[in-house]
Amino acid sequence: MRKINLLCVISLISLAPLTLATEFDVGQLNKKFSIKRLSVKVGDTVNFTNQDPFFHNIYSLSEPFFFDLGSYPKGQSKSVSFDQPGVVDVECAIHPKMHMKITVE
Amino acid sequence: MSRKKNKKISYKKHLITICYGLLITLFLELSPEHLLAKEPSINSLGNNPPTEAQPSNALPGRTIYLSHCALCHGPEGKGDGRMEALIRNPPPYNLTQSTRPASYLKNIITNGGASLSRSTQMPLWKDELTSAEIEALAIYLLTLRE
Repeated sequence: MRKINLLCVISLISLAPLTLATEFDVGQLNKKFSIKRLSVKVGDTVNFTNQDPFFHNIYSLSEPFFFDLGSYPKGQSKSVSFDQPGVVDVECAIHPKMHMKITVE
Repeated sequence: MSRKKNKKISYKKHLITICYGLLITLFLELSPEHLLAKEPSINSLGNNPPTEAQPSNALPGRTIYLSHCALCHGPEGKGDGRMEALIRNPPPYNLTQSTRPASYLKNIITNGGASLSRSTQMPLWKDELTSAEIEALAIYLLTLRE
């Protein structure tokens, strides 16, 4: 019985990193992302917060991470989760010079 | 002798006056205010789109269009930009089929699609573009129509 309990504990500990998703915050200020490159794990979520006094947009046309979070004003956030590994180019449709890269491992 | 001298002075005065006149004319022709005054505004176009494209005015509008609008609406305005793959409901508008007046175009560019009960995907551009740029853009959009 003790062995079974020990096995359960070990398997739970070993599975923990797979189940605990992390949230990352990325700001949008002065028409720039607060970070140029970000590494996340599969299942993690990235929150994009608009800190500028005008609208921003978030989208990616990197396969297979096609997404468009739309446009949103100052103080609002939009989130996206990544369910597979790859490299994601994130851009803003309103400010073509805004660009960042997310590596999903 | 003094008559001849007086005549010479009179010629010189005339020459100087003509030179000044030419310089003033040249200055007025090249001043930015004068150049701006030459460009027709949307207000002067009224609600009816012009029947012919105006290439001299459309050029700055095209530059703005390619950097701000082509991502969704496509390089020729057919609604086939790179974002076509993402924006589905409704898809980016085919601007070549538009029949709206210039004043409407200016309004939707300035205030966004939501303000006119159109697509919420169409952002408002008043924070990014000056009124002169929006005007140039609206004039360019009229030239895209089939």
